[in-house]
Parts: sequence; C-alpha cells; structure tokens
Amino acid sequence: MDTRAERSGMPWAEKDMSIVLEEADRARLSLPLAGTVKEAIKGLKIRMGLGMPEIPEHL
Amino acid sequence: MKSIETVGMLGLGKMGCPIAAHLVAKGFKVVGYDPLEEARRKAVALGARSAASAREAAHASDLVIIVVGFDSEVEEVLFGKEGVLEGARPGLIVALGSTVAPRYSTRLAARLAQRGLVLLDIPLARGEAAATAGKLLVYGAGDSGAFELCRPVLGAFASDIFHLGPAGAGQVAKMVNNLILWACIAVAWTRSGCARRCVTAARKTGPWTPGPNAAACLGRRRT
Repeated sequence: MDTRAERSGMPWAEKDMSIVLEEADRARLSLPLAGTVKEAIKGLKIRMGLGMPEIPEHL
Repeated sequence: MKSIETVGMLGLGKMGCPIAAHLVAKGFKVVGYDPLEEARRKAVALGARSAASAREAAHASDLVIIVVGFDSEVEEVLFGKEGVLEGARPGLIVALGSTVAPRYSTRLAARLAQRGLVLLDIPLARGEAAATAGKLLVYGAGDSGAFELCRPVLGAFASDIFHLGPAGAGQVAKMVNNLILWACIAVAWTRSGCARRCVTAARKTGPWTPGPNAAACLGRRRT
C-alpha cells in the first residue's frame, strides 16, 4: 500500500482512535467497529515496522 | 481589536512551518517559536521572526496558533515556564490547531477565559501536503466574534473554514473525520491483503497477467 499515511509513519493513529474510544466511553456509547479499526491500524503499523506509542515507565 | 496584525506560531514543524510561510506571504507579521533551533531557523528563512519562548511570541501577538502534537504539549506551551500565559496581553486569542479530546478543549476554553484569554478550536485536516498548498480544512469553533476576526488569518492557509459552535465542537468534527480516515485506511489495508491472496490463489490455477490497474488494486508501492 502506498498512501500518504504510510509515508508519514502514521504517528497520530493511536491518539486519534483513543480519543474516539474515550469519548464514546464517557457518552456511554458502544463503538465496536471503532475498536476494531484501532486494532487493525495497530496491526498495520506492526506489519510495516512503524513506531508504536511510547508507554510510560510506570505502566 | 479591529484586526489581526501579528500572529504567534507555536510549533514550527511539518504543519506549523508551511502555515507560517503562508501567513508571511499574505502580509501578516509572524513571530514563531519551536523548541528546536533548526525549526526556528527555517521559519526565519521564510520571513518569520523567531521568539526565544512561547511567552515572547504571545507578548508580541494578537493571535497565537498552537500546532503541537499532544495535549501535554499544549499544557506546556500555555501554562508552563516561559509559556503563553506569562506573556499574553488581555484578550489574546489562542487558536488551537492541534487535535485533542473535545472535553479537553471545552475545559481549556474555560481555564483560559478565567485568565482573560479566548480559545478557538481550529483542528486542521488534510495533512502536510494541504498545509504546503495552503488548502487545509479548518474545523473551527469558539467565540464567533473572535473567530470572524481571525477568519482572514485562517484564510491564508486554509481553503475550507467552518465555524461549528462553541469550543469543543471543532474537535468533535475532527474526531469524526479521524474515525472515518482510519477506518478507510484499515479497509484499504485489508483490501490489499485480500487482493494479494486472491492473486496468489489464481496463479496456482494457471497463467495470470496483471492488467494496467493491478498495481493499484494490489496496493503495491510506487518506486
């Protein structure tokens, strides 16, 4: 796949989808497909060898 | 304030730098700040003035545009040492171009209002290519009077500008935009994998010659 997102390394994917899911939690909305999209994008990044978000040391 | 003359650009990266260039080209005075010296140098080469801190940029500006990556950076640039609040004049308009949670933006508007500042949501869509071309999409929100005052500034780097309601509304629109964006990317990826598998299976049954659009359908990289 040759997309603009791929070339940029997609640094915002996790943040963008986390915002969606957190807002859905607050609104008591179930968004199963949004959860699937978040994990699908994570799989895509892993397969492409792109960087993942940093996890704080204390977690 | 009758019009915006000086704009502070806080964040001079892949989005902030081309935005600063468009503002300069349209005749606005631009004072830029970025922690990275190289980014500041690049902005100066484009005609902006470099500030030593967000405080200094805010002090010189009628409007500051924040284009940083995360809400933690927004906090730092606004409320941190040498931040915007240390240098802002009363009534300064703070336009938040970063993508943050709508709830954060709503709370931020209230926090800044307590200090006499006005927050506008202006999350930016379409990415770096559109920033370079001056054709960004602005999901605007916040005080409508302040927004209209800033519209000529936004028009320097955006071709589509919408005012959607109170602070937070712009971030809601950007959130929905992003949900659709990432869903499309996930579907495109799945499509590519599926097409590759189908071709592999088809080749096992006999000769197969790719048509002129096969590369696009299979999602092959351009060289």
